[in-house]
Amino acid sequence: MDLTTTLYREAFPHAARAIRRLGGDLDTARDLFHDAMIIYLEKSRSGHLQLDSSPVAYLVGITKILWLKTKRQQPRNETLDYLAHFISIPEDFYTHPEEEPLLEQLKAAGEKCLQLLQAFYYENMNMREIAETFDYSSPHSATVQKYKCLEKVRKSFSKTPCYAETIA
Amino acid sequence: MRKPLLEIQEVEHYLLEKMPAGEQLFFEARMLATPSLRAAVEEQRQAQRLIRQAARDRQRARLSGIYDQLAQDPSFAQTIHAIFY
Repeated sequence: MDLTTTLYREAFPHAARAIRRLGGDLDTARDLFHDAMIIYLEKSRSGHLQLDSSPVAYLVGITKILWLKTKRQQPRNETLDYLAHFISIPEDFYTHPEEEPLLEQLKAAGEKCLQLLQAFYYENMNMREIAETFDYSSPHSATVQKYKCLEKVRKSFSKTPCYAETIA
Repeated sequence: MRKPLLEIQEVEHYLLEKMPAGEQLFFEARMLATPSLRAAVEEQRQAQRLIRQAARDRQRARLSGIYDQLAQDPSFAQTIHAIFY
């Protein structure tokens, strides 16, 4: 069992109980817990995770905060209030509905391109690691390929009908 | 590299704050004077944001797979069932 699965197995029942007590169902608990896991994994990877409590308590805390956000409620106790202040949910965490067609367009841009771009922009891998992972002859050729993929994505976006309205 | 790729590289350096201060000021002045460069920066900022969104969707699918796998384990399934039903 890998580390993510082990943490999932340990933390999800606690998060599920918390969401049940707040009036939520299993599907809601699972969706919110998955978002909490993603936030946790992103912060761990970027070195921005400062844990005052166990990973399980942190995950349950984020799951509850995400529930309150979906219900537009304020935290009702000090611990959660402290956590909500302390845990910042990334500003771009959720996709704006008007950008959904672009997201679909991006996913259609080709699996290899998307994986390469995600390795750089999401997983923060450097070009040497990317060249090794994706079998490019050098970091330079992986870099050129990354820019070609970005060019392809930008061109596909500009052909999407809703594109002009989504640009800030 | 081709010229359009060099522009993408330059915009990326700007967005990832990898430009030296002087170069950044010069780039921002060019943005003010050149609407097409300003548009290119916004397009690329949006592309980078959506690449992260797509990566999160991939993570969500992976986590759903982990749930399905754990749900095969009778003790885990029973624990979850007892919470909701």
